[in-house]
Amino acid sequence: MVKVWVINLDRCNGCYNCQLACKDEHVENDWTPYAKSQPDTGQFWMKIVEMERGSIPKVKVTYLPLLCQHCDNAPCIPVCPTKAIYKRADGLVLTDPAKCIGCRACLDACPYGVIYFNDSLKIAQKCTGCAHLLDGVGLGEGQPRKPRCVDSCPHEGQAMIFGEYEELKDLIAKAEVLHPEYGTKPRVYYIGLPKPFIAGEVYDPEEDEVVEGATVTAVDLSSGRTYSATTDEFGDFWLKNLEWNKVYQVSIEHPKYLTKIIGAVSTTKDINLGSIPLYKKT
Amino acid sequence: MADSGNGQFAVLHYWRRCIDPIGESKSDVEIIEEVARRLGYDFTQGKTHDEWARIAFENSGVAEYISWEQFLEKKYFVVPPDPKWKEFPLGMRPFYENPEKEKLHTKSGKIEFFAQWLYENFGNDPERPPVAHYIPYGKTWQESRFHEKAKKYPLLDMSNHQRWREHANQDDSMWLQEIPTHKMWVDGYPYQPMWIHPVDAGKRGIKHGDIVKVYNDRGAILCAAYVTERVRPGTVYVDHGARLDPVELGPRGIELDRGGAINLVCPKENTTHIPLMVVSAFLVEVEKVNIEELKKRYPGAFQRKLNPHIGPSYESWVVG
Repeated sequence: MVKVWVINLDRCNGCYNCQLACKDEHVENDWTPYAKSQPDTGQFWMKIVEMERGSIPKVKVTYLPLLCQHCDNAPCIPVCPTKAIYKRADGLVLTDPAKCIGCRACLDACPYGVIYFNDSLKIAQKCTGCAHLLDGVGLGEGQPRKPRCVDSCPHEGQAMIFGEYEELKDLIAKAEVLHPEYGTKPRVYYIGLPKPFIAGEVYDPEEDEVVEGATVTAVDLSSGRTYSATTDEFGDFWLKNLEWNKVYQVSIEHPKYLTKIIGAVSTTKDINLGSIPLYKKT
Repeated sequence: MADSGNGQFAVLHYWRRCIDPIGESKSDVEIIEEVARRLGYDFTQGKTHDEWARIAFENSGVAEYISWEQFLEKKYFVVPPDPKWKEFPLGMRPFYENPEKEKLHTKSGKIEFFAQWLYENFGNDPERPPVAHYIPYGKTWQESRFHEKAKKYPLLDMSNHQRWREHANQDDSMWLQEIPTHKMWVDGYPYQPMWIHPVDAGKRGIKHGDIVKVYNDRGAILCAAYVTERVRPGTVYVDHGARLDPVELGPRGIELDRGGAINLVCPKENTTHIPLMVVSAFLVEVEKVNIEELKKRYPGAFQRKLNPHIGPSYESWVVG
């Protein structure tokens, strides 16, 4: 009976409702023993992180709702000297405000940076998964037993989903966790985490026209894996869902034009190759 | 009492006093009453505000649904749609089905590519030609990068309706101010972000978060630079609706504003013949400012009392 979030970044349009609803639930509301009230400003138990990718005109913006990952192997739990941080049977990781002595060890231990320090109460605070609402505490009339962020999401169960791990297994199969290399086994799953793209536009300088229907292929020089796309009526191409930190060789082919090869494109970030001229075969 | 209709829901609200009047301030109704009284009229006709509210209620149609007492308790009423709403024709449907009978409000009664009334009244006005088409600039409006003025003010400023406020409403909401595209907090002050492309920023030595001056012949405001790939080179982006926090007064009124109210910089002229203001794109130049020097030159403005959450507010202006 482990509770999980499944967040679909392909659906999220960054309306910030979840960030604001979280503040509405926790600012000036003392849900002891789940959590003390959050200060007015400065803490984001649910935080929208905006990522700008690529360069003009090949730009994409990804909004990532970032919250406590409620890890199975939470690094904040063992470092707490007073055992204030604990994992409930339903998987939620909570900080007992009565036991917290404000030593900040958990803030340093959390690799996701989702634990905040309350300067006036001198305690560490973070997302509780609205455990009080799940337990039926502080529920409004007709309010569902869900975290407020999930309840406030206007995509109605498509961008931010909360529920039992067993029931969401099919969806989780398509999802990933943030930074699996940290080894913390998060219970927040993301669909559509940014994968690098290589984009550009192809044109014929002699005709002063874009080239439609050119085949653009990227080959991962280490694994040989290939990706391909075709230029559209604007001469644009997008090679999507590549792998981070790989080196690709990009080739552009068209029956009427000389093949163009662009070597060693590195996906340390999203790449806009800009306008690429092709010259006609004679 | 106020009503609002937005095409979907008509709502009647019962408005109550939010705060006690500050100083000698008066409500709109009280102002009208006082003006009328001095002109020798009795605007109240001997009735109290609540009595007038009740008259409005009884003539609003809402009385068909609920009693005055129920309305007073609920404070608002959402008028349900006409039960026959599905039978009402859609927008231009009648014209589509019977264009000869269901004429449009044009001279020919049809959709006109050549606007006949416009031509009859104004001829071939180059700014408002009878056949609508793109013109780079005209007699009353030259805010174009093709115009000579663009040599002096080379950047085209887009000024849109903001995503995080409605005009100036909610500009001071502290939780919204934590959204980085709504306000950028620099030195404890919520500056209006000005989006600028890295190329234009680089040419001017501007870095993300620097305080910049956005200006032209009409006025100048301070903003925080939001360096982004989300705007094209040659354009900058400052939303309208930031609250005013004047730094310097001068012959043009407010010469410099810290709040970032872009209305001080945007054009005010109407185009010929048509009461239309084009205020969403105009020419500006941007430069990085020496904020420490400004603070020294205008200590009053920069030391103005700020509400820690919302920036300049009522307390900043009213003494005592």
